Amino acid sequence: MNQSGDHSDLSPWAHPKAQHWFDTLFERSGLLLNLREALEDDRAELTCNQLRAIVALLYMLGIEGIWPAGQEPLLQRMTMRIHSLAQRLQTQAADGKKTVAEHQHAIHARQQLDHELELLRRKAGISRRVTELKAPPDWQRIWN
Amino acid sequence: MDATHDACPWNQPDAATWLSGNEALRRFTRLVRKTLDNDPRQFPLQMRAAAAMVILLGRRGLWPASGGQEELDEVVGQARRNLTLIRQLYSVESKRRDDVGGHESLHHLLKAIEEEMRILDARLSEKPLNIPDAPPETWGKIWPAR
Repeated sequence: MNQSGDHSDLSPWAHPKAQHWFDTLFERSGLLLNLREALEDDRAELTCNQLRAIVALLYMLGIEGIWPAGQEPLLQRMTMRIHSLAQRLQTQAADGKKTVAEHQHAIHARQQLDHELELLRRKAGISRRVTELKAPPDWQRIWN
Repeated sequence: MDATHDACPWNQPDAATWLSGNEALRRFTRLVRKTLDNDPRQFPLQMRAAAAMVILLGRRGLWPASGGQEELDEVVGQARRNLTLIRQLYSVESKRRDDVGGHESLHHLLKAIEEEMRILDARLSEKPLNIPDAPPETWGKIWPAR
């Protein structure tokens, strides 16, 4: 048991051999570079749901011990970029013509993105808000 | 499929298409699978890390599986079988240490691995039963992030 008493030193990612395995996995797959490039490519025009999927992916991979050590600024950079793209989506949504159902669906997806992104912003240490924020209802519990 | 699953971001058609076409994510999951093909008794730490990746990412729509649900179930099942072998390995070690006074950490580790096995069991189950109410105790604070 560690000093905080939560046994997190026995997590699947705590041991140096496991951390080395994660580092190799990230390096050989190029996943983080790929995500960064996708977010920074203005021609990609990522949709709200695609941004939500990337947020979920970064939240799960952004767990301390899984995320490559020393690459925390990359998580912050990608999170800020998603924030900026989300704001841009909001402007575009106001411009386009939609049916009532499409409009409602888009509003729901936007609200979910805002919620999920705030979670990621807190994980990345960008948001300093301290109000309670529950797990996104649409994500399923992360462990089941 | 329940309403919650329908609303998952990775289950939205535009997101699912983007994820399944992401070559880096495919490489990532292929490497996880390759690790799962090794002998868990030889690489228990790496194998448990790979099983954790299956727990986190092994979801329909998120894990690129050209073979669909069947392929995903195969990955989840393999991770589950490997965790069983790792648990056996640590269980033998735990009993050996009990003989010389026990070792609390090993007991917690065994419990954690059992919790991880249950999560994978629940993923494979047809019925929404036996779903843990909390993440494994060794996983630390996953969320909510405050």
